[in-house]
Amino acid sequence: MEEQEQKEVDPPKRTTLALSFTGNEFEYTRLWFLSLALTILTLGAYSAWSKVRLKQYIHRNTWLEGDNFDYVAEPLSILRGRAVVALILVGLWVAEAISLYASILSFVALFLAFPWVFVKARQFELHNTTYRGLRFGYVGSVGKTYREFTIAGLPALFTLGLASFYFHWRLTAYALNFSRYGNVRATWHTSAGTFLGIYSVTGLYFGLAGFTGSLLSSATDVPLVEEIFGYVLLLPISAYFRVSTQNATYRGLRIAGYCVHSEQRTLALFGIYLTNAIAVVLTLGLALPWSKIRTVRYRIKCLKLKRFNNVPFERGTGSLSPDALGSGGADIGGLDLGIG
Amino acid sequence: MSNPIASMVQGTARYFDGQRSTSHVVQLKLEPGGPLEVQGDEIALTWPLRDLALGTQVGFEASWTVVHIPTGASCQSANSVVRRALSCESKQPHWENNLQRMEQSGGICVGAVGLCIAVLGTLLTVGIPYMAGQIAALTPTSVSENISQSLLQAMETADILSPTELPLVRRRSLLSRFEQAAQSQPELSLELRFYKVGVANAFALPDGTVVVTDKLVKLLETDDRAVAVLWHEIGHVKHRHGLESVIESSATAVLLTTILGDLEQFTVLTAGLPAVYLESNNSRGQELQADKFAQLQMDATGLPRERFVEALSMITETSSSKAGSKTNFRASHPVTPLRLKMFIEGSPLDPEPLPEVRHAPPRWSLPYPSQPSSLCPAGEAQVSADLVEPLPWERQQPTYPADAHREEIQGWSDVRYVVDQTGRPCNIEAIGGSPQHLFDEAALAAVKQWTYQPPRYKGQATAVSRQETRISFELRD
Repeated sequence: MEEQEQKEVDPPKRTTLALSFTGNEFEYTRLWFLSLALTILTLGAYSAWSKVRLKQYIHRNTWLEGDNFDYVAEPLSILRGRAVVALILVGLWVAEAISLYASILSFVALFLAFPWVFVKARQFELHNTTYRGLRFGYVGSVGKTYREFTIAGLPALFTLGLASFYFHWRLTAYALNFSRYGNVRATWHTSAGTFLGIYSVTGLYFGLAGFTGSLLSSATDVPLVEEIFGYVLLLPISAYFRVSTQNATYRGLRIAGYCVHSEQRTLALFGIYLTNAIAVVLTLGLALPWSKIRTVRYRIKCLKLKRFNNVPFERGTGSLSPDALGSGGADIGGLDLGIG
Repeated sequence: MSNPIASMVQGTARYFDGQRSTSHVVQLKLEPGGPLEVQGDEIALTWPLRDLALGTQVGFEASWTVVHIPTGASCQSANSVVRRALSCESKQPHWENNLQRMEQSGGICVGAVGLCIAVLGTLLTVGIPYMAGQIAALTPTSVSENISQSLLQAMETADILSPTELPLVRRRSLLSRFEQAAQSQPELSLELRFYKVGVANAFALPDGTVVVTDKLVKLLETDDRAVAVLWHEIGHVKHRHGLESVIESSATAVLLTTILGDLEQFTVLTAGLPAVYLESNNSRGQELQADKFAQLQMDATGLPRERFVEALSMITETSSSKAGSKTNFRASHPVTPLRLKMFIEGSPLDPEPLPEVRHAPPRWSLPYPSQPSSLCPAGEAQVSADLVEPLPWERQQPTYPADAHREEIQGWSDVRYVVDQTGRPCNIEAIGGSPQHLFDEAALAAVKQWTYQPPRYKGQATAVSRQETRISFELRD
């Protein structure tokens, strides 16, 4: 018996696992509009429930090896967080209206608060994501976050944005290397060169597009043509940027005996973006939730996990439940790094 | 909660102990009123119902029934019978389950979509512009001064605005005309500034600073035309359009990001497209308001309205003829024949109502919208690319001949005429119709009232244009 068991464990059996998404565009649209309507009727209070339920819909419809993910955040704590952040923002807004110095001060305050919001939001979101009864988590601290933001941000600042690829790469590394599932921390192995390549291609495209755009816009006089033309030019490059950064992000990710792989294609996402844009414009925005599910479905469909050994994860220790204040800030500020 | 189950219920589920990421297949058993039994390999647990918490349900999926056990363990069942049994038997009333019932109701969802469209539509088209106007009116002048001065400074440091190179004489004469205008508006602190920019443009800042570029002054040639444009910009200051736009666009942005916060960034960008349309729509309203102001002031000071129309036409022409030199004024101030016509002829905000005809109202139409049969500059017999087509400003409706109306006769009349240098049709003649001559008189009378933007040859209003058109007389049912 013992020998047999050893034989089963010893050779590192490589298995490829695919993630699947069972959500449905129509159902999500219904949930989304009901959420929005209730949020309007409750003057925003329902937004916390709406966030939890919409996230639950997506998490619970994401399957790996016969089990689904879940989102277990308490709507009430999100509501508290959002209320506090909204109050702070209103305060800053009033200050801005009163004097120029106050507006500069509040701008600096928001700027300085950004890393704090980043780490708190990440702690909250990962802590409340579960799979097979175990929580994910984030072990980055506030102090480390400020250090990372400084190291990552200074080159970008001094090169007037040229080094923003480094900022993106370094923060993604920080976000992922300090993430954990159960008691195991993830590691991330994508090189900064990959991000430099993506940013170079994108920059080159914008240069060319800007040039042709200025030629074309001077040739036409019809109002709105510039906006629409610019938007159409933006579609393929957004698809490219999104696909390559997400592929690069997922591909370097390892946790215990698992390697993540992602095979999104620019052309496919471009097709989704294009049809989304047409549908959203034709329906005057009604197709927005529909378009969201289509992109989520594509992202998850392209995700694969390679397993080298099958040792179960154990519950992480010392996981305090983080407060939702930072999460509220991230929601209101529209901060989304797109790393799930 | 309402109907306890009659007999024992069981089904398969997956069990997670909360300590390890291992998925166990288990059997759930639930007796009426009794405890929940969990049985599987190496697992045999019994929990009284009052200790269990049922996870929230979202949408339609039954497989999400999660039972949380106080040890941190949980069971997840795809069995809908088990779910129903659990939600009936557990004592805790879960108000969030009502949410799921709402999510499953088709009627409520249709109502929700309707409510969203109604509220957001009203907010974006009426609510925000109205509030922006109110807030702009309440905003203290110190704030608008702050905004304007920092804006100007930023544009100066960024080398968007360079010092003017206009001759002093020209500037002095314009400044004195502007002074006169400013004295008629004592409540505004108006100031005129000249800058050298690559484009012909004029714009107003919220605090009353009006900026004109050298190029625009040179392009418009006379002071009268420049003053016409200045009146328009003062109109923007008077109605506080600058502040209004700033408040409006930031309020719209806040609203959209709040609603669309959970969507991907790019999807949010898609939603920006209708917003851009709305914004340009609102700004068109502001242009008309500024036009109206300019019109009133020009009438009051005895400046012919034509000066404004000329100025706009000149700006239009340079921007469409010279590729590469873009005039911003044109982009943000769309010059339409309608706008010009409104400026010349009447009040843009309250157009004259059309006369009503009871029973079978007559309809008229232009099947070939006044296609020119030939176009020749006055004095020259050749057609050249330098000719600018006359654009119709106004086409008076013909009156339906009373006897034809009574007899319910329909038909048409073909009319030929020449648009002269002033934009008026002359040499009007009927060249055919059906029934013969019946509608000619009415058609001729109508065409006589029409006005066109004067046809232009090499930028000069010296051309005439021959036109042919068919005017149809139809009765609506």
